[in-house]
Amino acid sequence: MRSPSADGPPRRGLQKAALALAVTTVLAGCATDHADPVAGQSTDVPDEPVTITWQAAPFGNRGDDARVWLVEEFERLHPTIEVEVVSAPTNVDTNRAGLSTQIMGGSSTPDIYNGDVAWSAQMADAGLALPVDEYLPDDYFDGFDPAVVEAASYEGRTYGVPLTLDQSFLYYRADLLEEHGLEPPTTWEEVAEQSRLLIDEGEVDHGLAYQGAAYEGLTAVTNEFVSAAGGGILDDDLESPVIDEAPAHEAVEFMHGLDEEGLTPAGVSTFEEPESLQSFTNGRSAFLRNWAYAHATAEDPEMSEIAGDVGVTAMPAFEGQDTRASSVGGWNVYLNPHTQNLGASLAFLTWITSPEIQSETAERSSTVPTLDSVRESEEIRALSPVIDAAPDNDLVSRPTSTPHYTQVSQAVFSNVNAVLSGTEETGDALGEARGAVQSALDGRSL
Amino acid sequence: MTAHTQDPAPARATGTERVRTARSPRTGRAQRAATRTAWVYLTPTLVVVGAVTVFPVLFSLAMSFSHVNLSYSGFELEGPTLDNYVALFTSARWYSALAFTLFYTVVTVAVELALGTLVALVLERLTAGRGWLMALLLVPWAMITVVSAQLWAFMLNSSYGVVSWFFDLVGLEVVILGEPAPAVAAVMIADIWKTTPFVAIIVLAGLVTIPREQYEAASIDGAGAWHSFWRITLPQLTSTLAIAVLFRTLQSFGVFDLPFVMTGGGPGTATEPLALLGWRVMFQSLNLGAGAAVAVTTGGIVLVICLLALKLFRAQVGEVRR
Repeated sequence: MRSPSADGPPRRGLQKAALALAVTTVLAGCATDHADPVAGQSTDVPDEPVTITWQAAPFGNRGDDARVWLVEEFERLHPTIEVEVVSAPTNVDTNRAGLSTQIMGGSSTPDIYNGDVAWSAQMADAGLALPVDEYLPDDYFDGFDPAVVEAASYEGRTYGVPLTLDQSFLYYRADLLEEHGLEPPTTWEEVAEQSRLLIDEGEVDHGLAYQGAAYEGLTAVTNEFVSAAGGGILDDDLESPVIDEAPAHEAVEFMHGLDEEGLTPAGVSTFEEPESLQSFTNGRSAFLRNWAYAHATAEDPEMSEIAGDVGVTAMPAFEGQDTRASSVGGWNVYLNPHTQNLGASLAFLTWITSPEIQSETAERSSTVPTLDSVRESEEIRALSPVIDAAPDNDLVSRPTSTPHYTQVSQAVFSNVNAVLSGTEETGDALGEARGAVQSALDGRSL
Repeated sequence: MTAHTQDPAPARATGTERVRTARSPRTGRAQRAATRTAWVYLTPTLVVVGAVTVFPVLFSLAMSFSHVNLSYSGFELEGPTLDNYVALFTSARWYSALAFTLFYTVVTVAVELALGTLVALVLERLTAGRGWLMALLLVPWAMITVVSAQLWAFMLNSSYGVVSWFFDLVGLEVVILGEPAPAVAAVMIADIWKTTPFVAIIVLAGLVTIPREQYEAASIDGAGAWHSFWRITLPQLTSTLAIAVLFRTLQSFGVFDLPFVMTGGGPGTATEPLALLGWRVMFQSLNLGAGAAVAVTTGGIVLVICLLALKLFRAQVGEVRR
């Protein structure tokens, strides 16, 4: 027994005090209002010198660090505005965790931040991004690809300005295909067939490398296979899961079949982008599914053993179908709801997404422009085979317009990964995925 | 039995007595003044402890019993509700994380304790080079976990890892971090590699306090090394081991960095510990209420385990004294 008489009362008093403190804070937290947090701020460029903060991870596929020269050029044109770049973590999840903690805590910096296209609904729902369309001309988003604007919208408002467009491509060994008289594949069945042939001939160890680890990348890949087979993750209203229906089942069985037959590298269920890219650049895999950035690396003699032999084409369809499904990725620019520099922030974000600057970014840092007019122009298409292959892709958006997307994605990638690592049958795994997606949509999921 | 349960009691009683006798000659006023001064000196500390420990704990508790609604002006708590706990206790993912964390803790702590004791016994007998060897042993422990986890991930990588290459060589076809059982084993091995030296150092500190005469007496009586270990060394190490177990259990149960870097919790959720689940729910799904519920239950479980461990060891220490 401890002696309660000695230290009992003060301790109890302390507990009471702490409880009172907690309750007061909780009550203070309750007294919130939903009014426009930037009400009263001007949307014009200020006359007084101001400093705005832009949080962005490195972007661009090669060449100059786009962040550096963009800021230099902008500051030259706008002498009153200084832009401070805060370098964000390259891991998307860590990046979001940091930003949400900061903005949730009421921080007014960063004023604007680059965020994944998949974040829009979640950031909007949690009050971590402003509906930017409210401060921009009504026709501002007309020139952007509709799939990209849709991905940046939530409940009728647009929260992100599309900065760069990413999508997936099928990379292939142009030298080997030519040597064996093969055309670049347009269907997944052809990918399998050509893989078999090239492996049998001893040209490569594996056929197709892609991202099969349990993370967001696998959801993007699954989304493509399933969409190409005529299915989806959610129905069109984003209200119920269709991930266990026949097309999805066929698609995942196909992925599993590639694995079983040894047409993918043995470790594909642990591959993220770097591992899959490496399996291609060291010459072991004949095909690679990857984002736009992979082209520059695969063609760089310092980083790749197959530089000069790389071909790129739109994603394949399934035989008898014509959807060459390619998942939409890329960066949007979001506005912090607590910004004290609305005018300057708007000036900067409209400037970096303008047609002239998008062209310049495509040239200097090899990004894929989000404005249709820029992306489809002859000069820009001539810049890189990747941008040139882009129009053949059918862009499919992941179901990011639900605020529960993160849990939906988790349900998809963890169960498909279980199939790829051979721990679960396709039917069982997709059944489980359906259940987990449903409880995510109901907001019941962890 | 009665002897050992009563044993500590008189000691404590005398302690209190001594305080009372020391206090009694003073007048009531002086005593109150002394108390007041004590409180004045303690206040800054208490405020800091309250702000960084007590308040966040209570706030998490409040959050775990509320619907947390996020908005531009921060968040509001709506409650009380049991929804977060219902979500937790009906979630297969939480049970999977709990099972992994418990299994991980039990195995790593047990193995580290056994290996650490062995290493300490060897170190204690060394006459030359003990300092060097200790310094060498401490390298894994001193290395930042994220760095060593990354090193392990490189070695185990299925396409260019040296371990995978070796497995290939002997004809073992296994994607170490891509299959549940090997991945769990890999994370535990990395932990054991890293933390065994820590346990060894603690145990060594305990070993050097055991009087040499006891071993001499035992050997004169004809006891072998095995006998001496079980009858002399181990009983006197109990309290040292208790400290090691306590430290390691606390750390193992809160493991985050090793699986985060090595496997990301995968394949599937095979290596996802409670701390990683809590972080994901809170900062990726932005589901603050459920995340707080994960944190609160994890904290509760750790507390119970530690109290049980302490009780168990205290009982054993008492038995030895008798």
